[in-house]
Amino acid sequence: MPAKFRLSRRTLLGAVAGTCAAAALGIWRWLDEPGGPAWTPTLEATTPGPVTDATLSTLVAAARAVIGRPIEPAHYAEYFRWRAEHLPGYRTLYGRFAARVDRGARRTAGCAFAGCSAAAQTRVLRPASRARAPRSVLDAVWMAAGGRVWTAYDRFILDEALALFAGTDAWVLTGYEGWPGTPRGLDRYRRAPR
Amino acid sequence: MAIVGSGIAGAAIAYLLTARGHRVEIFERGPAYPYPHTPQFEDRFLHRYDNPAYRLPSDLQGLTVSGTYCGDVDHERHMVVGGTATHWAGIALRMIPQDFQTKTLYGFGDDWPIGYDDLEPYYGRAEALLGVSGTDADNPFAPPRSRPFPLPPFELSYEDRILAARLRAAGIVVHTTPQAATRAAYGDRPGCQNFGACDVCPIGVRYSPNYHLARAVATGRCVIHRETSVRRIVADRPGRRAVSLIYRPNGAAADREYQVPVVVLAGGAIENARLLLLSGRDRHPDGVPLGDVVGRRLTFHHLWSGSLRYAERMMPGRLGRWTGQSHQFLTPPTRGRHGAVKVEFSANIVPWSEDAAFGARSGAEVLERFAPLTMLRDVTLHSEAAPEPRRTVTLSTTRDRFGDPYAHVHYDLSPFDEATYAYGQGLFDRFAKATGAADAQLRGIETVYSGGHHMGTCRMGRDAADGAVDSFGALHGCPNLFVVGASMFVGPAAVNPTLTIAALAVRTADYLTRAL
Repeated sequence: MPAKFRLSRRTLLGAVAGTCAAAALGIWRWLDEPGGPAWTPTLEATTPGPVTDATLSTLVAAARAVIGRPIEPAHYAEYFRWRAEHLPGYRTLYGRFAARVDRGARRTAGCAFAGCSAAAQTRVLRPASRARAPRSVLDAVWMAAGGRVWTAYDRFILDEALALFAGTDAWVLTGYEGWPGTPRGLDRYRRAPR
Repeated sequence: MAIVGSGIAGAAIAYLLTARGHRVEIFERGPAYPYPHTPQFEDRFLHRYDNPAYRLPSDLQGLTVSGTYCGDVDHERHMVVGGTATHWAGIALRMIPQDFQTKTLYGFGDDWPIGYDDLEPYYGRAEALLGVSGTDADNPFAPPRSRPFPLPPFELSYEDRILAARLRAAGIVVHTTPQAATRAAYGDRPGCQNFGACDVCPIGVRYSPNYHLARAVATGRCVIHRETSVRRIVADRPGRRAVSLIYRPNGAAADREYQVPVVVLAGGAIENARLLLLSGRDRHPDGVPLGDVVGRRLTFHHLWSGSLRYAERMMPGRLGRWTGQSHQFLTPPTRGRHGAVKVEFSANIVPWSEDAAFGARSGAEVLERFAPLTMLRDVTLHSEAAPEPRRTVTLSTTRDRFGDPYAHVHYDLSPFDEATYAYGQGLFDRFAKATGAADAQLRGIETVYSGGHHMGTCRMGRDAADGAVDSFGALHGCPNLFVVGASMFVGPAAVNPTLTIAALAVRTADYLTRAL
């Protein structure tokens, strides 16, 4: 017969405390990793295909909300549409994102995301910032509990909208007559900028 | 005849020979690359998509490197139908007469076996072929020419005119930039509409070799075997003539042989040398006889960039193309102690603007980062290197899909290059002071970039001891095997090499027409 294993209360408490300390240390080290935590978002290998007009409206509204400056929406819609129809994973991601932010908007503001106020849209999108830069143990727990889905929304929707903005509307808002990729003619570049 | 490589030199020769009734088969390792480049433009500017269809897998494109050059030599090359010039800036400059005689005049490098006068008519024909827009009226340093540019120049931009006026007061001339982009309609190519997407021009304004490849194919006398790798060249028993190519479609399991009366290698300085080394008599009894010149004197164009920041808005990038540059320093009195330098204002801020979004959380952050770009002008020093035998292309121990060794590139900067950088830094400082820049930063010597301009490795010479090929590109000792393109260059000069590549190709095409 093996000897009965005994654990004193002090030993048990010490083990629990040590485990918690190690876990906290691990989380803090993970949070301090250069370039952020190593939860790299990826796209699922799902089939490309068309998205609904409602999903496109939601995506453009999210782009508008994260950019927060006047934009021409048409090329954002075309951008999202093309990616959904041609690149694996985007259609699925867009559909899930639209459903999620719509749900959030209805719960917090009583409207579909695309029809909400800018302030309400910004509130709904706030988890994206939290997912990008978790700062506390609570953030890490939230990520582990499902919040990490926002890293994909952040990387593949909101980041891409900002990159598109930098290559297009930002030029006009900075004082250029048009952005690269549009025919700008050969007269204006020789005259003083507006 | 067979042409290995479909870049600017191979395309020009294929076009000219098929127009004269000859049959040409082109072997290109890379994939198809649509022309006009509208799909590539849409990928890049509308959909922000880096299309893998235009890249070779790493078991088909690769090389190994040693030395101090930090650039990505491998991916400075674009292995697609049309070659690296599918992506070029289009700047089309003639070398100056002194560039062909650096040893005699300045005591460095070697003299070319031909001079500027020999090449001048071909420069004119190359300008006509490519549709070059330009003028010499504002450039007192331009070499002599026997025919005018085919198209008027792209005028200086607003900001270049401001800087040019300030530099003129300091004794420095800034002038327009000749470029193979159609300022006005030219044949069936439209005039520029300033999309600002020049490397993937959607309407064919910037010249692309694919323009002439399409015309060569349309004659019915040209076939392009794309995604097909030539593995070696076979010579006859005495080694005096090339008799066939051993090639394999990239997805095939077995080699094929193509009997051919004339072979033209047009795969760029690195791949031309690699294929010759793979075909050498030291590796195969029926190999090509090679001297010890092949693979030596690999020479890059040396580009160093810096930024000038001004107190007022300069708004660079309103024209997608380059406009102002200075050829005043192509023949400084101190040339020989260092290389010549061409100074160029760059207006391409597209990559910078895209960087403005990196890590940003809002449009306001993007705009905050974008705003300083409007006050910047990038200046690039295009510098001449001295050819060095120890800069080489040899065979690597790493192998491609078929088991053939990749090229190994060894490239170091020399004391001559350090002196050229120091000279260029002095010019940069002069430009900064004369134009009233509030801040000026030239990137360090270690940031040298080739611009994708790889030269030498099969240089022309009067005999086999002096060079791998003669001035028409025929391999010494094997006169039906030609090497064209920048491989033939004896020295690199400070100006962009592409127009010289095209001029030499036109000259070789004439020679082949007579020989065939």
